[in-house]
Amino acid sequence: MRKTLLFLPIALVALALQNAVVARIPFPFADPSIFLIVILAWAFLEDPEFAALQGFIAGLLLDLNPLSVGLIGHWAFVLAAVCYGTSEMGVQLRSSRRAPLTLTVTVTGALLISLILFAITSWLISAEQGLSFSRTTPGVLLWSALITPLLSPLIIRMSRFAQGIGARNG
Amino acid sequence: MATPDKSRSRFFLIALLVTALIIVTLDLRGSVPGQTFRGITNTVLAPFQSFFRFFYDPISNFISEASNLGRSADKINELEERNAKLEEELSRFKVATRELEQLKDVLDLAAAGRYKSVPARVIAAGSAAGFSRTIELDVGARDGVATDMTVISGAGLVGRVISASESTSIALLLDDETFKAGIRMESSGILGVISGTGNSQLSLTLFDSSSELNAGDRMVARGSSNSRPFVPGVPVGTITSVDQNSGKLTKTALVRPFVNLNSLEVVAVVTGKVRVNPRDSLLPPAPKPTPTPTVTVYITPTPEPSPTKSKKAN
Repeated sequence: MRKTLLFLPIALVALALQNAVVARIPFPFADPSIFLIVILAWAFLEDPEFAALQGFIAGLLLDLNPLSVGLIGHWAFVLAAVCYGTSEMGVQLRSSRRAPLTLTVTVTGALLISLILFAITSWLISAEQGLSFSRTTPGVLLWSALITPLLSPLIIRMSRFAQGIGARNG
Repeated sequence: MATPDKSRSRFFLIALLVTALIIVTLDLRGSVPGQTFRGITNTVLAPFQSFFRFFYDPISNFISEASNLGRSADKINELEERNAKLEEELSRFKVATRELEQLKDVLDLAAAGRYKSVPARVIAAGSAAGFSRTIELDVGARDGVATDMTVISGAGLVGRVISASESTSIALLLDDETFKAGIRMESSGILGVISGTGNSQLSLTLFDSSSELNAGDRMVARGSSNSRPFVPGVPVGTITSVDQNSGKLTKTALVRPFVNLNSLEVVAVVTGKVRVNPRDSLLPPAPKPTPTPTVTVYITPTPEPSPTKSKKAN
């Protein structure tokens, strides 16, 4: 439980960084999503059960982000599912899990799946979204592939710290 | 291999997904006070965001000039070290000047339209991965901002306020797919509706299919009753191409907005009612047709050839 408590401020800081800095820099194509990168990388290093819960919380946070206009619960649904899947994959790859390349490929893949799942569920519930999928996705993926290796040492270190706390205190 | 642990975590995942679906359903039915919750998140995020902003504002200028740094990187590095303090002051000054220019433009427009407005800074923007085109402004209910007020910049219409907390507010940009606004064509006065497309251009629909539309035609906001959500007369954009499909009941066209929505820094929120409709007076002066160059040649008539010379020629 303490691991999840530590996760919440990290997610909040990532979201604030996304809103106040990253989204305001005029990146070519589309801006990278630091928030999703952090969440998915974290899930990859986490146990499936915690990953699903943390994905759900992160998704709810993104839904309740004052700057988002979609339905509440939509991102929670998508991120709970994708984080669980990502974590399952991390468990399979146990040995090479902390290699930056593996992390980058998995996070970029998981990001693509999140965006596709979000677009499909949007279409299913016919919710309108502000930006078209084709305009957003290539840029987000490109930047995520470039930025994840830079962020990965930090995320891996924080995750190790959190696992340590989890192991000591349960 | 399905260990009890694994089946437990699967059950947990399904429980989470069902919870999410229930929340979505409740929100679809309108039984979740979404804006209240978003207001709470905003309050929690605000200190973090202002912390990051404190560092970002001076850096933003470096980023915009980053393309020039590569050319003589060594020299610039040396100068940077020597003049670090001076440069920081200069960049702050540049940001301030740029913001001042934008503020002057937006106040000019507001004054020309006799709009009662509150100037505002853009302090955060919606992410592309979040699929929303929104910006956060540093003015809120205590400055008189409420939902459904028009947001303008020096060049024209930016969007409308969709929520306002005590000290901040969120505005929906006009290229968001959910955005719609009534417009009036310049001079002809034909009415129509523009809507965001999620791309850089807007889509325009005219209800009268017989009306004439041409690329380059410009339009202003029609204005709503009581000036909310839109005040009349705000410049919206220029037609770039017309859909010449005569079989339809309505006529459609693509519109390029006057405002560059990706580089907004200072905007204004119109807080008061508009008494006098400024009609087309806020549109920038119409682009003049480029004159075809004419060449004037002055010819001095040569004196009559003398008979002697003509004789020689023959």
